[in-house]
Amino acid sequence: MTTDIENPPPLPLPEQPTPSPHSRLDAAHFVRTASAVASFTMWLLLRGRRVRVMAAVILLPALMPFLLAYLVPDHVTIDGQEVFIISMEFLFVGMLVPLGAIFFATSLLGDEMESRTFPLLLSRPLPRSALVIGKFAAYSAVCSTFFITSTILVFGACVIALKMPLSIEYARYLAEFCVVIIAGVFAYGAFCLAASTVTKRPVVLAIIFVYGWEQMSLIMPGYPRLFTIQAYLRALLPESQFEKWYQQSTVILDFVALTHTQIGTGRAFVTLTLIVIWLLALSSYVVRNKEYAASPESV
Amino acid sequence: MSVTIHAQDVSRWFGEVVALNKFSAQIGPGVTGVLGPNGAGKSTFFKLCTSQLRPSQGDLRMFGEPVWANYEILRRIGFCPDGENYYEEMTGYEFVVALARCTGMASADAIRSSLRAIERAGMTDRMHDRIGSYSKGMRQRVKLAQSMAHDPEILFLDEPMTGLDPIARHDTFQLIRELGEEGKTVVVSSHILYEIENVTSKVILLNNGCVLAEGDIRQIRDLIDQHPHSVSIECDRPRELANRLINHSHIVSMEFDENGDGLKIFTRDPNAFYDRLPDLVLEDEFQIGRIASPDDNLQAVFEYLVK
Repeated sequence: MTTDIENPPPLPLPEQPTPSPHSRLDAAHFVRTASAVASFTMWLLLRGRRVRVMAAVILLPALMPFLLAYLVPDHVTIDGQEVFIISMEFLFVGMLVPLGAIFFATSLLGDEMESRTFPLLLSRPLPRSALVIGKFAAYSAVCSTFFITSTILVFGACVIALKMPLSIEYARYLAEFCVVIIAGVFAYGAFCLAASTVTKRPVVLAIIFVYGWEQMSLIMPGYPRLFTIQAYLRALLPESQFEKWYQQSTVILDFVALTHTQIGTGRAFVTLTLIVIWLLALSSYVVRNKEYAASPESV
Repeated sequence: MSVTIHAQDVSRWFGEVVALNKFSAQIGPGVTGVLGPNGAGKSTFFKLCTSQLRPSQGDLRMFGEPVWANYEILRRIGFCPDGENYYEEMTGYEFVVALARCTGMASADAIRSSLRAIERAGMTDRMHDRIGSYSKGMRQRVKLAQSMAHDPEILFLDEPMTGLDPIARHDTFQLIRELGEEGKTVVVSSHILYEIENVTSKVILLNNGCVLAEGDIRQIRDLIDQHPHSVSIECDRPRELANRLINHSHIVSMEFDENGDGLKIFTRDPNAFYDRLPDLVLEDEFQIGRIASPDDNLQAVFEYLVK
């Protein structure tokens, strides 16, 4: 019920929408707002406690070659090149890159909700897709920097501690591994970001996908491996130890050999690009349509 | 004067909870107060106006255009939310500049206008300190600064006076009045009539999601005079403070807290009380921990209006 204490004369409604004094929203506005979000998200990521823990985890592998050189008896020869390639494939691409994505990308939006700072961003003239892209760009920049630093350190440690020759061929390997790692950062980051927009427990979903589904699918015959990110990343690797092992095992099992799907480098690259684009588009769509303030407690 | 905010039968519900029920109002430039107890629907109205929520029903327009995901309109809106919404590790300056840049301003413009807004909010001296080290009043001021930084035409200030000390409260009243005089549409919410009264005479009374009354605050004031205004004060010597206040004619009664570190004062003239309090505190060096005004008295007016 409405009680009019005083009846003020009705205010005239503008006949035409008042033109905005600002310029039209355009691509330049999108880029400006996305880069503003990226720069302050990067600032938040780098000053958070999470980054210190992750930095320690990521930089730890650089100690491994020194540890091997120290622990292994003198008469056993360790191939520095093998150590580098195996640690890149199984430790970095297989474990640490997905872990980094789970650690950072699942919390890109969750932290804003938890600290109740989301209204400050959502009430801005900030296209929500720019918010998603900006946050993703910040995560990608931070994680890629960490992993590439770590890769270079591991490479250097293999050269120093395990006497890996410093040749142009290995330098090319290093560059190629860096590209694969960046591709992994993008693909797993996009997956974890999308998971955080569609579920309240993105970490659980991401762990099940990365350490459950992917690991299982990779050793299964047939097509399941096509529904993983890991298979495409490994297809990009300059020398995949896993693929070697897999091809050897298919010699024993004929039906596995028949159904084994080889993924070419070009196809892997295109597929990963499409995965990233599709997941970012999905995240943007969900964030654009979701009412983050919708709860009876927020009345 | 034209309408900047036009709401026609706007309703919003969350499942079975009706947060806002057929809210209709036309708000023009100047300061307008939205008054109501906790849970009345004030924050829901603000969230609808700042594109955080969509109306379940009805039509909400600003400058003649719908609000949801309308970035042209959002560029012309500033929002100061209630509650603790900060990036604690940032300095006040970094906080305001970062959010100004998120409106699409170029970096140099964002810095310039943020400095201006910080100055208006009275935070220049402490702007390079971490927000985590700010008092509640400073936090409110820096939040106010971020809402003004991009020079919006409409400002939504959700409970902006919460936690402010008397001096900061006075400065904030002044600032809100100035913004209104500049021709901006300023919508301020509060559950304390006294706060709204200090910034505007235009008021919308909300209760249980419905508009109870809309109009001049003086007429509401006449109603509230029958219901003394209560103020809770936490201080080091509540009995001495009570002794100093008891002789004032506007004081109706007083109650002491059970734990002995506070008292509740009932007054018929909150303006006189709030004017006198700073002098008393300075003269007798009382250590004031907290001043709050529960909305019980306002609730009584709402009950009266509903009847």
